[in-house]
Amino acid sequence: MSVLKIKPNLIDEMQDYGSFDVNTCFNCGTCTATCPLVKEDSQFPRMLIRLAQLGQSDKLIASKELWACYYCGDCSASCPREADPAEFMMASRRYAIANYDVTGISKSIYKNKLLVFLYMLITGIIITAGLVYADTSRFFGNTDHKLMGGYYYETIHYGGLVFGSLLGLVILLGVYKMYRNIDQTEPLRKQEGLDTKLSLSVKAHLLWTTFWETLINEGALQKRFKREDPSTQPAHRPSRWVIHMTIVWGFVGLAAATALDYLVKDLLLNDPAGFVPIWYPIRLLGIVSGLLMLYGTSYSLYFRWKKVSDYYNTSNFDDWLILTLIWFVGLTGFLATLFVYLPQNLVLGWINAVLIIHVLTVSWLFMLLPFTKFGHMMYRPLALWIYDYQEQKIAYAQSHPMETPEPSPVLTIS
Amino acid sequence: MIMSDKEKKDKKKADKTEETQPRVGVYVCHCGGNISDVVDTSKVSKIIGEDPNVAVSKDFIFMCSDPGQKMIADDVKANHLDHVIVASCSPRLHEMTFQRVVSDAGLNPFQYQHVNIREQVSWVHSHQHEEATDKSIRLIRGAIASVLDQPPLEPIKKKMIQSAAVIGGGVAGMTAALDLANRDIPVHLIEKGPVLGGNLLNLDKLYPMEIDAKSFALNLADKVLKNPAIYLHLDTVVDKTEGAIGDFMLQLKKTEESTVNKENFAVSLTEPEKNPDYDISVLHVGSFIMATGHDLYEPYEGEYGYKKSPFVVTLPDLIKYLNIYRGNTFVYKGKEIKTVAMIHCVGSRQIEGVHQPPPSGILNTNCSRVCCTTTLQQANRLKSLFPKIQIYDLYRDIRTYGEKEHYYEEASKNNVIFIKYPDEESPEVEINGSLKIKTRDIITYGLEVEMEVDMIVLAVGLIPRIKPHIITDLSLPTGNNGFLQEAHVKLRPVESSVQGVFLAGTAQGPKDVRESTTTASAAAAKAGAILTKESINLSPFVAVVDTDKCQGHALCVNECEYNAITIHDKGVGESGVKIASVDPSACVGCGACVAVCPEQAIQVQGYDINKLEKEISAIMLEVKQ
Ligand code: SF4
Ligand code: SF4
Ligand code: SF4
Repeated sequence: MSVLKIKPNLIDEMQDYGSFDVNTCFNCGTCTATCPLVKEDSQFPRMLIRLAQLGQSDKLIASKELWACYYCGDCSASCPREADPAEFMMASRRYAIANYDVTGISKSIYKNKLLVFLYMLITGIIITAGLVYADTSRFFGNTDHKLMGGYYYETIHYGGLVFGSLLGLVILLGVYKMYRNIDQTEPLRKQEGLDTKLSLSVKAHLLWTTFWETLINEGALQKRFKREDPSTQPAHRPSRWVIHMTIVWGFVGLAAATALDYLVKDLLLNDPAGFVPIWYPIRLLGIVSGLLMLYGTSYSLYFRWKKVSDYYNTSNFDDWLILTLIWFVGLTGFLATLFVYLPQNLVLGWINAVLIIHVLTVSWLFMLLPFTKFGHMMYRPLALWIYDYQEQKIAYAQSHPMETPEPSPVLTIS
Repeated sequence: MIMSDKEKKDKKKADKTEETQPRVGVYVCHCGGNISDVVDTSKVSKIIGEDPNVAVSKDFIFMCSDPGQKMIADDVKANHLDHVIVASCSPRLHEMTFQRVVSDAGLNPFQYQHVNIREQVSWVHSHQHEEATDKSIRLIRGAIASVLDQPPLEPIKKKMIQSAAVIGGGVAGMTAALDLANRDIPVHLIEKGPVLGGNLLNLDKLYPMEIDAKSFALNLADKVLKNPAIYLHLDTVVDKTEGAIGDFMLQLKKTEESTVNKENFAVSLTEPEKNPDYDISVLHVGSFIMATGHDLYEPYEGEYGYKKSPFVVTLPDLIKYLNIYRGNTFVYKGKEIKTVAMIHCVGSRQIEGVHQPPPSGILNTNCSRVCCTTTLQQANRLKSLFPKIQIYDLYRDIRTYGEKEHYYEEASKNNVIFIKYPDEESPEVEINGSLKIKTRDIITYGLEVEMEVDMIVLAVGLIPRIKPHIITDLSLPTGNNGFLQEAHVKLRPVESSVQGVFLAGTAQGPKDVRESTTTASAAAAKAGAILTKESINLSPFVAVVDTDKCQGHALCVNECEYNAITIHDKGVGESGVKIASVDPSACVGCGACVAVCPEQAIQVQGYDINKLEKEISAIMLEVKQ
């Protein structure tokens, strides 16, 4: 094992990402004993705190445990030094996201919270200007693809594509950075020569199965969350899992509706701004998803505001920001859809405002994705997938001893 | 023998005229079942009662209770008992109780004998009821045989010289001297250096009130100087010691002029003007207190880079430096110090085969108790003086016990980085231009970590002083670790087993200032208790020489650890003939001399060989059922 250089200021640095005081942690391990997720081979949060104390940031953000934690807060409640390990875990996740971001935007946002509003203001002005003033007919001919309120469909579409690709690139780079970091700093979990021992097809198979497992169990069903989140809520309150699920599904549903809408109306019917009846399935999907998202975020915001239990006690600025944005996306999206089916003279003055807010909030949400807590959406499943794949490989190697079999001695039966 | 001849004659006459048959009273205790559940106590008392020498034999539920004690006292008077035996718990618990009872009832307390049938019988033979009963009977018979042979003894009286000496002028010595002087006992305070204050002068702030150590020392010293009952001997050591409790002779010697810089310290402390006896070179005192303090461990060359790099310093060095340093940045020897590593347990808690012992050769295996607190105190001090400084604290355990925990709390809040290194694997220091430390972090299961620092501070431990003369002269016992040892860790915590010698402060082992003054006051109280009497009673169980048998071989002299035996001329008219004699105040009655005398000329009073033989024969006798 190589000798690690101690970097003493990591914890100070991490204070930008959450308010905790793990300087006072004396590594008693009570938090580890309390955490319902700790298994034999993991020692978090204690071990991660220790790594932070020693300034081992690479090891810290490469750890799987970072992403396994649900912030139930049990550890913080039991810590004899009031070091707030749960908040430390949360801050470490933000810190990891900021470190995987190649642009540096994330770090500056966390360092100076006002920057986020500057960022939003600038992008907001560009987007609004684009919407209101850009006359795309100049580039695309008069396509008459005008949306409600008179905005050009192309502005949104192509603008979205450009923004989307840029963000996609940032995300990809971040994801690659994460992969490389895990690969380089967690050699302990690997078995020597494992990768060369396993055949390509086995590896591809494992990669594929673990991918689907992660996608379905972690992404779609949030199974682990349901099973492992130790926080309990009184019966009259929706559980954290329900809230999280509705937000996830609302989000995914809306994204899917948008994509499908584009496929069907733009590519198939070549009438992107055309009117569809309310029973049109994609439209229905959008409405339901929007409602789900509103449901989840409303509760979450309310609980955080009222601090109904330990689990909602500490909210950082990005919690508020992201939740509020999602809430507005849901609300405006829902209203915009509604307006299509209401008598136009009733809603005329409102349409512009609602649409602009919708486009703005959607853009902001996506633009903040790689730079804030929202990034857990990519990093968490990815980390779990990488580790899962690694573990599966080891398990496979153990159950299939694969050296060329020794020539068995010849038995003569007489 | 302490009885005068006339007394002996009187007694013999009385014995003949009144009774020839001795009258022993035996009391068997149940100890509320502790004994009687195993030993058949009524059977024991019945069989013992058949002994013709036994006038009364009883068993009772609690002999030590008021009714039990009263029963004995009444029987002594009513039945004219001349010897009493109680068979019960360990003599450590109640021998004195019953001695007092019989003495109040008019008997000589040494005609009482105690038999232990609880710790030595019922508790150890809890499943062998019959054998236990048998053993009890035998032990009591042995006691009867022994007590019958016991002459009435009187405690030895010795005149007390009612003044004291305190050796060492540090915080413990000054406190003890003041406490004694305040009881109007004249005290000689002997300090080998030119100033009072001792190790206190090298400290920073004192826990818990954060008083400045130096002003605390000055304050005490001022009181010492102003106290008319204290005679100060500075620059003085005790060269030779003789005698025993009641009269110790201390021969003093001036040290060579010390090189300590007096200007740095208050002049008043060195002023001898109020010292009338300043030239005294031989003192006689009734008792004295050892407050000789400790030495600091001096790391060997190369230990964590000590003496190889000027930036490896000891904790006391750092304190001394900071005490006079003024500056906004920490500059030491021309270099700005931005990172400091502090290493705990240097020269303490040493492990055989891992650490190199100090020059005395005795491995210092104990914890020095004060260095953790001091290290963290200084870490916090550095942090408050130079907030940007980075501190690593390499420890084995943090022992900021009791309320001192707040130093640890503060240090961790101050972002001192704590690294627990393995006991068997001390951190490695590499010097080339910079200082680099490599060690293993136990908390992460041994991750190897490395840090570059500008300065290393070694928290050196407290080690015993190279034995002063006085320790060897009087054979004051020291423990395995070389510090002075108390007679009993709990029951006699500030007394040496040499009577009349008391221990104060770190001479006895590592202590902080509060603990040092506590033991100093305790020692002064103990010493005061004997010094305020004009004479003292000493235990009569001491060695006596049969002057007829003694041939002056002097084998006993060498055997005696307590220097209680001297050889001298037998007396007038017998010039050339030498015999031994025993100083009863120095003798502890251990019996080592008895075993080596080829003439059987020396015996411990109350334990002579005839008596022991009778006791053993009685124990060996079969118990008839
Ligand atoms: S319970 Fe608190 S002090 Fe103990 S290891 Fe966890 S964070 Fe540290
Ligand atoms: S917040 Fe809950 S899940 Fe996270 S480390 Fe603490 S106890 Fe474990
Ligand atoms: S007090 Fe601390 S540094 Fe000193 S010997 Fe004990 S454990 Fe070591």
